[in-house]
Amino acid sequence: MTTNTIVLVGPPNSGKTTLFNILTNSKHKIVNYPGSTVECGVGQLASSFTDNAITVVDTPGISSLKTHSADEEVTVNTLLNIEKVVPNACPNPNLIYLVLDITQLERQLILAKQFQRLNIPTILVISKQDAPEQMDVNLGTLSQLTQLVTFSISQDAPERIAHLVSNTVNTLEDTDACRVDIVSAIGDVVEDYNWAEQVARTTCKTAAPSPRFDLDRLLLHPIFAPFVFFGIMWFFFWSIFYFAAPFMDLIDGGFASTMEWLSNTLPSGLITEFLVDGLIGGIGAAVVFAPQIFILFIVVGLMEGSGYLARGAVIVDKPLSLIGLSGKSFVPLLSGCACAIPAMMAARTIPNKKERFVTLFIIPLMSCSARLPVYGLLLTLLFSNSSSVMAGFSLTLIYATSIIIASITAAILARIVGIQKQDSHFDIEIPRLHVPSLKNILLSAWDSTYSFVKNAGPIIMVVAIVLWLLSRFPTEDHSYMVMISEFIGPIWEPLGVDGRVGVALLVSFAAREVFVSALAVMFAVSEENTTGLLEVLSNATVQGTSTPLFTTASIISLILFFMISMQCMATLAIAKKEMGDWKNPTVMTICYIVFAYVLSAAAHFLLS
Amino acid sequence: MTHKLTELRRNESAKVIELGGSKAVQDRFKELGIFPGTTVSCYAKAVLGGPLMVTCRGAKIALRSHIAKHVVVEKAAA
Repeated sequence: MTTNTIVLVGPPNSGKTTLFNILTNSKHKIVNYPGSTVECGVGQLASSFTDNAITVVDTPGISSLKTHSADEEVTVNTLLNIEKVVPNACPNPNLIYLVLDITQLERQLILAKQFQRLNIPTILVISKQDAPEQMDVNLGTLSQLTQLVTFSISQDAPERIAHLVSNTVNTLEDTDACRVDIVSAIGDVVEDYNWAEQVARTTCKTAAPSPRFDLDRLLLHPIFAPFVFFGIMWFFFWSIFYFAAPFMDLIDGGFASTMEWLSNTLPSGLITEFLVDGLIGGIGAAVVFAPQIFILFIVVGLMEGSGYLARGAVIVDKPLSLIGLSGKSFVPLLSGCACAIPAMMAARTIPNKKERFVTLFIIPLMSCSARLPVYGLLLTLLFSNSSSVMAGFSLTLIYATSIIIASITAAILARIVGIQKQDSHFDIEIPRLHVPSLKNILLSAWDSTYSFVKNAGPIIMVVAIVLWLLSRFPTEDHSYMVMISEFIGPIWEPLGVDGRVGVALLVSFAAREVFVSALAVMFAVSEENTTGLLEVLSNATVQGTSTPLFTTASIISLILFFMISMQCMATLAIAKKEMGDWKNPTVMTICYIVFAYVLSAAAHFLLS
Repeated sequence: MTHKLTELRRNESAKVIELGGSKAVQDRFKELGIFPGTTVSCYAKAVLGGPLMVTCRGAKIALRSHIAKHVVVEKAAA
C-alpha cells in the first residue's frame, strides 16, 4: 500500500510552517533530502483532523518553480520525487497545499498560475496571518479565476483549518499517471505577473494604507540603519553567551556530579573508570554546547521570522561586495560565529555557486563558540586573572582579527575562483516585517539542536573515549598518550610548546573545546578543578627543562593557531556534504593548518 | 523623459519603459516582476553605499545599483 502525501508549498514567510505545525500537531521530524542537507519537515496529519493515514511534508520557501538556490531545488525535487523523503509514497504528491500570503497576492499568485499547469492536484490556501482585519479576498471569484479550489485560513480561526482538511483529504488519488513537467509549468513570467495583478485586483479588498509607522524607515535609513544593525548584532552575541551560560553550567555540573556519584557508588576498577571518565565524560563534552546552539537558532529564528535577516543582508551587502561576496553570505557567516555546522547548512541559500563556495571556505575562520573556552583559558593564563578588562579587550581583538583574516582569505579566493563584480546579481525580496511566531521558532530551534547533537555528538563522544583510552593504557604513568607526546614534541617546538600541549592540540581536532580537558588529562589534574588546572599550567615548564611553558609568546602563538587552524571533525564532515566531495574540504583543512602553524611559529619567533 | 532606475529620488514613482543589460539580467528582472509596464518606486537609496531599495508589486526589493541602472523608467506625470 502506498502512503498518501500532502505537500505544503509557498513563498518564504507565507504561513506554511504555522499551518504545518497545526496539521501535524507539532509532531514531526526534519528529513534531509537525499544528496543534500537541505531539510524538509515530515509529519503525520493529526488524528483530530482525519482517520486516514496521511503524511504531510513542509518544504523550503520558493517564489517560483524556477529555482536559483539549493534550498529551492529541494522543494521542486520533492514535488517530482517525494518517495525520497516519504518511503512508500507515489513519486508525486497526492495533493499540494499552495500557501500564499493575502497581503502579497499580486506577486505570489504567479505560483498559482504555475501550479495550475503542473498537473498535480493543488489547493490554494490564502493565509491571513497578521494581515489587517479589513483585508479580505473573494474566495469564489479567486477559485474561478485560478481554477484551483481555494480556502482561507487565519490564526484566530482554527475551525477553518479543520474545514480545509475535511474538504480536501477524502478524495486523494494516486498521481503516478500524471506527467509532471516543471519546465512547461514555469511558463512566461511576464504574462503570469500581468495575470496575477489582474486577479489580485478583482478579488482582493485591500485595506487602507496602515497608519502605523513604517519601521523600515528606521531599519533601512541611510544613516541610522547601521546603528540599529550593530545594536542588534550586539544583542545577538550577548544573548548567545548570556542566556546559554546558566544552562551550560547546569549541564556541566550535572555531568560532574553524576560522574562523582558513579565513581563513589560503583566498585572501583577499570570498567568504572571507563564508564565515568570515558563514556559519561564523552557524552558531557558532546551535549554541553547544545544550549548555545539552541539559543543561536532562537535568535536567528527571531530575526528571520520578523524579516530582519533580509534587511541585515542589505546593510552588509556593500562591505561584503568588497571581498567578492554579497549580502547573501550574511546569515551563514553570522551563524559561523556560533558554530560552523549550521552556518554551512545556511550557505545553501546562496544562489551563486562561486560565492557559496567562498563562503563555505571561510566559515571555519569565523570565531565559533567552541573556541571560547580555549581563549578563556589562554587569556586567563596570559593576564593571570589580574585584568578582566584586558581579557575582554583581547577577546574583541581576537574576533576582529578573525574577521580580517577571513576577509583577506575571501578576497584571495574570489580572485582564484574568478568572481566578477558584474556577475553578482545580489537582489533580494524584502519580506514584510511581522511579529514572529514564538511557537514556530522554538519548535524549529529544538529540531535543529536535536539534529546537531545527533550528528556531531557521536564524533565528539568517540574522540573523548579514544582520548581516555590512550591516556590510560598500557599504564597510566607511561600511556600511549605520553609516548605520542614525546614523539611529536619536536613538531610543536616552533610554537613554543611541548608534546603534551601538542597532543591536546591534536585531539582538539575532535572538537576545539576538548583542548581544555585534554590539557587537564595531560597535566594530570582532576577535571572538576579548573583553578587547579590554571595553577598547574602557569607553573608548568617545557618537558625536561626548566623554561616556563606558557609565556606571552607561546600563548599568543597558541591563540593564533586556534584562530586559523581547521580543528573540527564535524565541520570537515559537513563541508564534505555541502561542497560535494572530499577534495576541497581536504585542501581547506591542510591550508588552514599549515597557515596557522606558520603564522603561530612566526609570532612565537618574533615575540620571544 | 526617461531616466535610469538609479536616478529616481526617494519616494518617487515611475513606470518601467525598457530593460537593458544581458539576457540573464533581464530575465532576473522579469522574475522579480520588473518589466515594461510595471510601476516602481524608490523606497531608500544606498544604505551604507549599498543596494537600492525599490517597491514594486507590493513588495520591497533590494538591487545593486550596477544592476538597477539597466532599468529605464519614465517618471509619472507630476
